[in-house]
Amino acid sequence: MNELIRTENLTKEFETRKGFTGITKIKALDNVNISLYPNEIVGIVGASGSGKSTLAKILVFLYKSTSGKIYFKDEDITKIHGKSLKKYRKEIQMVFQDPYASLDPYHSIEWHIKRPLLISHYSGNIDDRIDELMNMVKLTPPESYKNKFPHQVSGGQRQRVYIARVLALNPQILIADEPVSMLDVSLRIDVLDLLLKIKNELGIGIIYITHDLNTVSMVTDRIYVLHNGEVVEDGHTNTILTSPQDGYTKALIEAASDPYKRI
Amino acid sequence: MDSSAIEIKNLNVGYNTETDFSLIIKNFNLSIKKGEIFGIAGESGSGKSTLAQAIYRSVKYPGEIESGEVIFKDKDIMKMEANDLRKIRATLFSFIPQAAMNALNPVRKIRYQFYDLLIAHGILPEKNNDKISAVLKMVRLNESVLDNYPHELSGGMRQRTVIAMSILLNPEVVILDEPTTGLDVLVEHEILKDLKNIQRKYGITMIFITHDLAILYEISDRIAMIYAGEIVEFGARDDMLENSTHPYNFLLLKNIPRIGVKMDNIIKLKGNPSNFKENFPGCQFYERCPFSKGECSEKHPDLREYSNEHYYRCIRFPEWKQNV
Ligand SMILES: Nc1ncnc2c1ncn2[C@@H]1O[C@H](COP(=O)(O)OP(=O)(O)OP(=O)(O)O)[C@@H](O)[C@H]1O
Ligand code: SF4
Ligand SMILES: [Mg+2]
Repeated sequence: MNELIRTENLTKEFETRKGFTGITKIKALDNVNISLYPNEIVGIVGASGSGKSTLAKILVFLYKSTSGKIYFKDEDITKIHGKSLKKYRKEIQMVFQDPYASLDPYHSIEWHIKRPLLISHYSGNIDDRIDELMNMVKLTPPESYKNKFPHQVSGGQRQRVYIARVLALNPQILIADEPVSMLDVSLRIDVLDLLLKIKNELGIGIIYITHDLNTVSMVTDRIYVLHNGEVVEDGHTNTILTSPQDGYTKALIEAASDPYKRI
Repeated sequence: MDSSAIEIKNLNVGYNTETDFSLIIKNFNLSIKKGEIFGIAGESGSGKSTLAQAIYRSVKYPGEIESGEVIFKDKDIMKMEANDLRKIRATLFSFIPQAAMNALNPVRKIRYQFYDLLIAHGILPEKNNDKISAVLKMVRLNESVLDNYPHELSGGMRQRTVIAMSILLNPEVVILDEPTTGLDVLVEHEILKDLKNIQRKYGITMIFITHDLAILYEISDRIAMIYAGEIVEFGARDDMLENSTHPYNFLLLKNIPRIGVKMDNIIKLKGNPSNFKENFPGCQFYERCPFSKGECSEKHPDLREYSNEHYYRCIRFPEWKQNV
């Protein structure tokens, strides 16, 4: 099978003004090559400032890269705009860290899932599709959630509402940026399990961004370790976690919390 | 000599609502030993911050301490005169509230925030620059941070600053509410190691509160698990880890994502952590508990001793362990 998305030497420089002396350039991404296939979850792992979120923002066209290329199903989309950009934006959806901030407090859960269906002129039966999506993300039975408002459900359920909302657009790629880091322990597993279910049942490719190797170990097939904007190590998750080669990867593994360890 | 640093007795704390009073911390009893790291764990909404503020007597309206005692150095903090309370705060007893690193004064350089703290306790700052240097060294911050404004520092540096302030006046007891939540894993790990070093070196008593069970088990000597404002299990860290007596502790431990654990091997914990029922006669964990029996919904379990200072609040222990 071919890649859903692939980057080639993706580089991003930010300019920052330093005092009166002028401008300094910071390389947030440095010749990054990653790929994502359908039906897989790929982890982008790194501490804060490593460039993870910059990469996500470039992939969803919130930022422009300084150089390098992005391919979507073998087509060079680095410079697309207008109609083709709009079409691509539907194929790639993002799930964010804070499930509260990403929902509108004044609207019901049903509204959140219905709206993208209306906007995209969904051709089938909208009510059936809402039920189907709610069942998919395990907001069941749908009736007991539809009329609730975001503040009336738990953080984990809010995250699932948001995931149902983005799945309504039938994307081929999902980017999840720290989707469980703000959730309680007992809710994390549920959301992680949902990511696996989406991958297995819908065949979507998922990019899972985090600094936490614990959750990465449970859901990803492959990982890229980012450090100062560079991929320092990549490969199958198990291989890297059991025999890391790079010092930075080793530090991340050592810092991963574990109740059986002792500080 | 008494070996307990703080003794909490029958503490009841809640919030005034438009119509009545909702009790969050219920009849709470706990004795913290001198020189230990006592960890308090609970999911969000379980009442951790309410408890922390109550121990420091800093609960603000609509919150209210209904009754109870917190004994520190033979005195009840709840009954102290405002002036005496002010004197012991920061000097003998200090508190780092949740998100304190975001509460530093944004328009004041770090140096003057240290000075303010000294002045508030009648200490001349100019003569105490050494003291400030010493605590900065303890938290491994460069002295140059003194000339920075908070926004010029990273989250980890701000948290280190707050920790340095909390130990500036050599307190015997420090309460830390979610001290590393929101920080990057690498930064968090370093801060935890430093905190423990400082604690061990100076024999400070630490009350460490967090929803992050994994780090709590990494750092604490003893742990109390709270659910719906009550202790459901507490004991020495190893006992809590290897011989859980309460299903909540047992299941949470099984639900922690961890390198090497497969999704299929996880016994999932159902339900929502913050749906507590007021005036429910039975066990608060009843609806989420996979080991519950009818009797659990009828009477409220008492805290019972299992073995040498290991307590649990469950009617069905040890039977439930046979159903695992
Ligand atoms: N100012 C307030 N007014 C009314 N209720 C409050 C207030 N602050 C907290 N509560 C309620 O008290 C309960 C306990 O809250 P608390 O902040 O102590 O929990 P926590 O365990 O610290 O949670 P977290 O992990 O989210 O910090 C919750 O049900 C909360 O809704
Ligand atoms: S008392 Fe019953 S419901 Fe409560 S924790 Fe024990 S077994 Fe579960
Ligand atoms: Mg809190």
